[in-house]
Amino acid sequence: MNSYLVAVQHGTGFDRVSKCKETYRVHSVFDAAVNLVAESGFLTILPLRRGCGKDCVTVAVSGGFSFFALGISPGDEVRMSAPSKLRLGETTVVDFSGSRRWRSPLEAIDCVPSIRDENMTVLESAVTLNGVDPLSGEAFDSDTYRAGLGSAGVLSDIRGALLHNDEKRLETALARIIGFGPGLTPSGDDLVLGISLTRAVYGRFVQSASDIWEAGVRKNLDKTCDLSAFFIREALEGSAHEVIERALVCLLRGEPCETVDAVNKLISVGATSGCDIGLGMYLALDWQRRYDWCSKGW
Amino acid sequence: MFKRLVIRPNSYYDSIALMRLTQTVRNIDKMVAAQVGMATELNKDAVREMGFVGEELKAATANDLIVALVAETEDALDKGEQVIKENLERPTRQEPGTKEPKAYATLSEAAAMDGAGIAAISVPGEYAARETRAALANGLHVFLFSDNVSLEDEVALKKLGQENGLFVMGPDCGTAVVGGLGLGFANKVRPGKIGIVAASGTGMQQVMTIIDMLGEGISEAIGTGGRDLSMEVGGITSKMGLAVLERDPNTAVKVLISKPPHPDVRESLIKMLDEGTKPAVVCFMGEDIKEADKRRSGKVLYAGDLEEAAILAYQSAGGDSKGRLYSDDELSEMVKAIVARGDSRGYFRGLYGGGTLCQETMTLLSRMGIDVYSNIAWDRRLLLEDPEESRGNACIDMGDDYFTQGKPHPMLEPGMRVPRYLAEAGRKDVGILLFDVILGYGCHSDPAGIMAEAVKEARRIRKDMGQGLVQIAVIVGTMRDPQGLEEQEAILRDAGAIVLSSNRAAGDLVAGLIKAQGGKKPCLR
Repeated sequence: MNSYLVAVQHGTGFDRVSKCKETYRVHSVFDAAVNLVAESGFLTILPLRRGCGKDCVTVAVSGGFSFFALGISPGDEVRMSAPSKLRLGETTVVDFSGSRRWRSPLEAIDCVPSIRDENMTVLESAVTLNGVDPLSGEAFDSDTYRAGLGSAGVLSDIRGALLHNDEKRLETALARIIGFGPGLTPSGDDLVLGISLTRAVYGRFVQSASDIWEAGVRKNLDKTCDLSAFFIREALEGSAHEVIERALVCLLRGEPCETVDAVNKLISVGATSGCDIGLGMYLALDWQRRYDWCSKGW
Repeated sequence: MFKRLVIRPNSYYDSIALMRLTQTVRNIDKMVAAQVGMATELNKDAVREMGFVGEELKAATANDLIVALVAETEDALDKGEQVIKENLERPTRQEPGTKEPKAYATLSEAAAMDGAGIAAISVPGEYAARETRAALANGLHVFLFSDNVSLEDEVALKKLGQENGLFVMGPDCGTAVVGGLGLGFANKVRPGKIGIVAASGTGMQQVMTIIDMLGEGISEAIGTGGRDLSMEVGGITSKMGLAVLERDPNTAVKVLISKPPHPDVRESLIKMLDEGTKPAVVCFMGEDIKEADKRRSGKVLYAGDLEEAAILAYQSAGGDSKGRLYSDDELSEMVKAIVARGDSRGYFRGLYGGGTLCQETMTLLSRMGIDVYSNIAWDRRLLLEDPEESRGNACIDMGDDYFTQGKPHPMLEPGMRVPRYLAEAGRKDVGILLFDVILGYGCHSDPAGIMAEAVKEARRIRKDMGQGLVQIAVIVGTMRDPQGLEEQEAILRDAGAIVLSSNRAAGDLVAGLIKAQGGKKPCLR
């Protein structure tokens, strides 16, 4: 059985495989995604409806299509079988000949963004409605904001460490959440991803004297699975999946009505991932609004 | 309490699946706790807090999946483990089928099989003539799907077949229905009184499916290949086919579909039909029908398009007097509604898998004074210099050789059109997109499903652009096709496309929308 998948758009990450710079293998196969892996990281094949990203390619398949039907398995070899044709295992070809280059929604942010209260309210409501306990006191400064991140006071610790520029305390706090929680990408990782991406976007316009956040996160990445660590690394460098980037762009630039749509799409990512990432974004934006943290060399 | 720990090295499952699984296991009677997640140090700590210890847990890495179960009974643990096993061990490889069709080493070996009457040949063009000769030598009719067969070979093979009373349907023959058996891309049509000879696969499919929709059926449908009515070939297969239909007691009406034939061939075919005993309908796509021809007495009726050919054949077979599938009023109401929404401002772009349907749309619009650029335009002025780059109002045959060299035809893989479709959707000067969806045996199992995703994505793109877009789908199929006509239509409608069963109607709708913008030139924002 041979399957032919037509690529519709792809991010720059796919240049690594199309230019044969590395040897890739199938890492994992899901109903609606195939992950490929090489030394430098991961690449993901997604159906059109799931959106794209720097390290993604979207393919034209029907709504009910399952990647399990491709007959590929983890460990299968991935190679270019012809210019613009990627072969996965022995059964599947991905045709890149008509594929367009994906453009990041974050390109729309060309100056220091402002944070609109209405958009923060949209995100707060969405996260609250989707499993996060109601706020108590300061926004999300609850000790047990959700089961997956039940370690007492961890968010307060993170915030406190950042406020006092306390590298050691931050590292310890991050060690309590990176790799913690259910899901393929643990809940704690998703939260860190949301904070990291938001901070990276501000980092484009703000020169930091030091960066204890990035250093603290990187030091703890060996505590989680390779796939999740890769996503966090990418977020630290300012990129994420389209749905995540789009939500952040809307939060920073959009009207509340379009922000509702983008945030709802974010929240629906994975089982809890979208909600956790949204929470991370909220925290990062709230700290920025209150303390201007991205500008203070954290 | 009973406990069980399962560690699956280097195992990855999506979060939703894991979450559902955890919930299912937790709901098992007497199950106290269940933890499923990646074996990160923090998650291992959580598992230790559940009372698990040991080297296995210590050795697990962050890339392993960890399952920890605590239950009141051993039985509950067994059930939990069983549920996890069933859900996580979903096979990713297709199991080989248990009923493999018998394979033969050569065509002659297959021809020796009892009851074999037709050879369907789809080898690369360079080998097709040799295999066709072998089939003819073994007394088989040939359905020749292969293209890239030389004209000389085609003439020689058809003459050889003719001498032996054997059909050579093709080369590049897409569709046939012989003795109720569909060959190539064939729709599941009801048996009936109308016989078809066609030099066009999708043209034949459009006529067959409309006849089926009207309540009549097909006796035989014989494909000829696109060059059969050329001067060189002289209509050998077409004439053989029409002769068979003339003799066939099940056939009451003959239909002939082709692009305009060579004048000599045309004359001989019309003469043959006129001299027959049965009424005939002729549709020479792209040909201007002379009023004199229309009024001519005799057995031949001339149709200006495929829908009309189907309706005339249906009426000739005794069906009630039908007008168009979609009345002028219906279409003009649709135009009014779309124009009122302001969605259609901009050029029209048709992206077809069926070449004849593409040609038909160009012809229909041309008759209404609308120039349409194309990669298959007969008029050199309207031929696109670069098939990848549309201009003005344009119709692209995405099944043309240019697009299918080394790639699947869009009827086999509708996704081939999606990148171009979305590129057109992203152009500010485009307001109307049209595409065909062909159902039937041999075609993709869910063509509407793939195009529906493209329709949704196009809507999203246009929403971001702050512009509307009209998306029209022509669906060619029957209720009995394996994909299911109603299901496929519903998928497209749900996605936001206007769905029509007739390419002629789609052409009329597009023409109405273009004219509503002020004629040939679109009103751009």
